[in-house]
Amino acid sequence: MELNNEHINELIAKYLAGEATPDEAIMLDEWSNASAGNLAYFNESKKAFGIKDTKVDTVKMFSAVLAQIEPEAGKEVKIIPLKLFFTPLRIAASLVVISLIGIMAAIYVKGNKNLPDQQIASLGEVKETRLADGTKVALNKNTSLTLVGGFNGKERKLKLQGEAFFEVAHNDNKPFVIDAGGVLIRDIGTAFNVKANPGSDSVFVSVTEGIVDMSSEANTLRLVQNESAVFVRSTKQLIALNLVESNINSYHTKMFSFKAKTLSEVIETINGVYGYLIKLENKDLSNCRITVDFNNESPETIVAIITETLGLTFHKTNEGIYLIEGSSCIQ
Amino acid sequence: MFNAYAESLVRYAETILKNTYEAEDIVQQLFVQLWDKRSTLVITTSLKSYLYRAAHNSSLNKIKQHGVRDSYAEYYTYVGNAETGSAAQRVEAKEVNTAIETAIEELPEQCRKVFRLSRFEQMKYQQIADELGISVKTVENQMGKALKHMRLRLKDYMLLLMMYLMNQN
Repeated sequence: MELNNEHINELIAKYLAGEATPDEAIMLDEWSNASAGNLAYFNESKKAFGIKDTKVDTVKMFSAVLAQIEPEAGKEVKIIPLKLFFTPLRIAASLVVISLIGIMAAIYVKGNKNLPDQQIASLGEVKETRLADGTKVALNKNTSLTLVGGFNGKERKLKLQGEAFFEVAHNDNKPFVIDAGGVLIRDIGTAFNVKANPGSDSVFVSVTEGIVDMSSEANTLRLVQNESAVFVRSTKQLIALNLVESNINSYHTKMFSFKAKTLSEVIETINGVYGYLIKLENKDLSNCRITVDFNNESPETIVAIITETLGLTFHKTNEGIYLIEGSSCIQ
Repeated sequence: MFNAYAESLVRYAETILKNTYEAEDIVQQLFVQLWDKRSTLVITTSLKSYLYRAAHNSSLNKIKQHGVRDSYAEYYTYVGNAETGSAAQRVEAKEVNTAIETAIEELPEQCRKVFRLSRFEQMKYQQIADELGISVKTVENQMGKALKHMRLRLKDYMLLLMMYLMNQN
């Protein structure tokens, strides 16, 4: 460990003053334990700082921990397995399987004890699943959903990081609430999409069917079918939007609708769902406009339809990219 | 796993909480929660990293909720503690206090100010920086220098004291 005298004194001082970050504390502990000399140095410093020598009774602590985790004798333990629905095609990656195993762990019910949170994550794939209450969820890539308290409280509460589409199973007694980091989204009716990416400053909600309430600390906005709103984290504003992003659910429905959109926009949207498979060879074609719908087609069919409509051609490269070629579009 | 990490985690937590009992409490809770989450927890960094971070966050949260306890005086040897314990302990505590006070007076001005604010006023580094109009890096640097001096002087002092005591016999 490369720690010269200057640094070690600063690090020890920082630690003793209670200012050390977890990583710094780890670094110091490793240094102290590296040699008897180091440990003595540290202890001298601790004394010089004026901190009393105290004993830590780990045996007593361990017993205390055990006492809290062993179930009391005589209490019944109920095991409730989660049911999952997923299409076989999506189980390709072993990563997905691992996270599924995590979810399939049993839920233990111990009297009034708080249930642990449960996590569902989608990693590099789109994942569709059904929650214990019957709610259908479709997670976009790299999204994680945490079921707070195992869904056992008086609310059905979830924390969302990423993007997901919800078709909520109706339950008047247990409201369905999503914590998207700064804003709460409460389902009153049925189907809606939430985009709450952790790095992004905004949380975007759009309602397909039913009613949803979005609440920040300051106010609440009620959204009905085909309405959407955005919550800006930095300014804490809740803003209703007039535009309806019609292709918002495409990542799981594979249905697209483009009305007089530019070719570059169409390609970008398609690529966002299928991966970067389509490219334009001639940048001049970017601004060609097209009106077209796609209903669960393969990327190749989509490219074929686009090129046919606009009088262009395409070929598939060795890397599996569809390259659209042509000098101009039929408009 | 418990035995490997428990003590270090308590030591870390007590530097933030300035109280050994509360630190033990926090670390205990940490392990209980870890056990509860065991089937669904996904740790992306190392276990050590996770544990230290958890201890750090819980400690800070506790302070946010209850404020720094007044009983932090129990944590230090300085003043007040020269009154508890056995005769030998009281004598030692008194000597250490004197040694510390003397050593502090020897520090260069800014160094001394920084050290006093942290050690006696319980100010955070950022607060000290703001108060004295210097950078946090400077505060870290000054604290390092102060501690180095204190450690050396204390060693000298204790050595002298031992020699003095030995000569008495």
